[in-house]
Amino acid sequence: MADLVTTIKQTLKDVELVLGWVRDPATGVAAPARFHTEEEAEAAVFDSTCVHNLAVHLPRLKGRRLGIVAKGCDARSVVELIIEHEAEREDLKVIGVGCGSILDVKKIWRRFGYGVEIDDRGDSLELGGERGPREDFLARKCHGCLEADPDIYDLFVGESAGGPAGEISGGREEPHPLSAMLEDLAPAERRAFWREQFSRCIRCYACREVCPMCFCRDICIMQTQVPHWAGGEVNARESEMIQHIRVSHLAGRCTGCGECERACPVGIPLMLLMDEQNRAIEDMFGYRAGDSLRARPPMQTFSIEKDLWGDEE
Amino acid sequence: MSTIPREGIKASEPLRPEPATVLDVITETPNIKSLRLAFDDESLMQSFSFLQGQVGQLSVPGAGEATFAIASPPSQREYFQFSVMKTGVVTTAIHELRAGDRVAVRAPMGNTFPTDDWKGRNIVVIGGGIGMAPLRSLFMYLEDHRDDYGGLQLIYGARTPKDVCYLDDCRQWEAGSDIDFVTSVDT
Amino acid sequence: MKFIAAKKIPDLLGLLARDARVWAPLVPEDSADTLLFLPWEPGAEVDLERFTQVSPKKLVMPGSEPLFSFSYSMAVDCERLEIGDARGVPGAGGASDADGAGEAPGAATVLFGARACDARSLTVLDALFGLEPGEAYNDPLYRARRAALTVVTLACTSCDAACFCSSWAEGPASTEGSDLILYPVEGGYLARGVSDRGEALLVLDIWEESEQPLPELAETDRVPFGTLNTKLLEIFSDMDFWERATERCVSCGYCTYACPTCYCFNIFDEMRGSRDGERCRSWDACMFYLYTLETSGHNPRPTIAHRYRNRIGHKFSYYPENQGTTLCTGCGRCIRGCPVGLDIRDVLRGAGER
Repeated sequence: MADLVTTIKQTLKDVELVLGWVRDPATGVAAPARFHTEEEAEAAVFDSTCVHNLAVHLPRLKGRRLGIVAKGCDARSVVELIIEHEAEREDLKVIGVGCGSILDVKKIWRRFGYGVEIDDRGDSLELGGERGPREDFLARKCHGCLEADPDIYDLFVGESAGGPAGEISGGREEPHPLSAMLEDLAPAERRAFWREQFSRCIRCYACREVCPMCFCRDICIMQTQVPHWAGGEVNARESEMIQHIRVSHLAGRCTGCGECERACPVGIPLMLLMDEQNRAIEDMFGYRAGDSLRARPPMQTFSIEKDLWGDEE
Repeated sequence: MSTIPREGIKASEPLRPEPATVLDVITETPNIKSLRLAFDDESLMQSFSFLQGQVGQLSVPGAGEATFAIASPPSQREYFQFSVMKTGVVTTAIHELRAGDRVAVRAPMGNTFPTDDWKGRNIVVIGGGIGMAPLRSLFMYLEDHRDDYGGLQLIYGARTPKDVCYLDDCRQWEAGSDIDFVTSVDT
Repeated sequence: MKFIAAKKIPDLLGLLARDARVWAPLVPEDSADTLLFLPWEPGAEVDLERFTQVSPKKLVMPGSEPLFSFSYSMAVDCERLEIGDARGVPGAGGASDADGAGEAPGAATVLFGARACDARSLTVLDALFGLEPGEAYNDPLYRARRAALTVVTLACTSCDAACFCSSWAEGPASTEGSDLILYPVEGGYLARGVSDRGEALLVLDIWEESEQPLPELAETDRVPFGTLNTKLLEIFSDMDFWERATERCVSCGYCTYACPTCYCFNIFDEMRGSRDGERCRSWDACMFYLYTLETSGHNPRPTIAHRYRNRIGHKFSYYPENQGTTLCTGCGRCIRGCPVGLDIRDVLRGAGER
């Protein structure tokens, strides 16, 4: 990725650090990294294992001049964070990367063992010597890819996809694999389904911590004693409750990056909740989080004067 | 450690506190109250002993449990005392308690001062603010064993005159002929 | 040596389940890529190949457990407070009832398919929680669960790139914490009793005799600990190191909650209605900001770097100093499941070279 390395080095002349990826020598897959110097930038990579959404670091680094390497989906989070003033556009250099879809590394590891050699041939995949169809191991978010190219960027690296990633996308119309199953269930059965799913939750809050839009973090009411809105016990009832709080707090803010579901160590299909809500928000308000810097999030926009007095200024 | 008393803690159930009753609440400063407590179990109260400087876990069930120094001396067998500054959830609940209210206590815990090693020497005890709580227990212990020690001096300070705890005790210490009591405030 | 054919494992589980709740590596419904220790029921297919994502520590240290119940009531002249036992207020929907692990401490339990690292982790926890009454600390709930637990370990003939139990003397061959060990061989498993309790299981009418030799066990990655314990103290204030080491960390609690030896907990009260309640103990994690936040607003571990430093220091310096054993058994879960690919071995090696 000579092009990427050069671009990061160039960006470093203007910013304090650049968020990107390096290759983990132990597994051969990409891991998030911060590049502070041109020498460090030599290690930068971008490939189909760069699954992480690095925008999660922006609120934590607020106020510093940063560069960030962003896929199309990651850039949607950057847009939403700028809208919510958790990142300043002028402090940010976005290095857009052309993305041809990303692999679900966790799924590969859990099936074939952690660290199994992943040879991505573009059209097929070799995993520890076994060859398989690449589609089976794509990150689920790629199936709903809206556009592979970032909406905002200052510099662009790689090949523009000119639309959704590869040929695999059906846009957001492509529902979660469990969605159809759930729709056939009666309310009581759905409830039982979620109770069962959340009975596995260990309350590690990985869903929250990897979510770029969950920036309350250290004072999140899922965890605080004051206010004590959520009980502290680790059980299905509390876990379901806190996830409902999280989901509704992300109404009209979730960009569908899929990090919560990817990070969940016990395989709770969190994007099933998010997708349903995102679809509802789109139907009701015609709004998709991360579409545009000029858009105003429907759940955070109101106009008291107009409603009360019936006339605009 | 085995010589340190643990009567208020059941060996088989050390995490479970014993019910106790608030006998008296003393408002020490605008944000500090002292509570005088006794275990509901009379035989436990009779056998209850602790060493100067040890702590206890005071529960207001529903609000939670927190650790406080025992501020009364071991010689006080009628009650044991905690002095609590209002800061968080548990301490706020404690400040709402009135005489007759029920709480729960695990005590005594923690360590003591090596008072045996000090015998025959002059002792200066220095404390400030609510940090005086364990030192009150210690100093009263030293007074109880006055003959074992040389000169006793207590230097006690607080941020403002309003923040001085244990005013009644201070007056007695000030009046006491065989102890040197020095007090100071920042402003 | 005793032998059991692979196809008879369900029968063995059935026998074990006659007298105890059996927990085994199972795939939860609708989540094919997850493997967890879950209660086994007849018909459930155990997975004895892959590794579980969360350690079995909840069997001795549940995610949540009630310590006691309490109940306020009005008497004629005063308010009354009753302190109950650890089984919760009847009918009040007590803690952990939906969790499955909230069984009464002391109920007979079999952990089936633990690995040597998991079994050994129990002895590491015993050093702190297993002490008898009269010793410095004494945790009756832990001891009751521990005493009622039988551990049937599955020896590792293969490992993955995250495993590093060979860093300790016996590695995958460790028998510590196991009652019975199953060794995968052609067609099934050889069985070896380690404790009396394990030997007793070999009396069951299900074992065959086999002449097969014990298989060769896996050889994992090794972390050279050397003098790391003192080194970690030396670089305690080297915040540059800790900040660089944790740059990709997002401060979730997965590593601590998946870990078989991380034991930090929080104690808090939950009301069930306005008069009844329970005091609960739940897992807590030093990776959380709220873990060390003090009432005053001061937080001695304000950043991720501070918190991760504590996690490493506790495991590889302070616990060894206090309890004589590393608070880690090399199971590799924190590496496999870290959502951002932070490898604890990189940090340890980096510290060693500092």
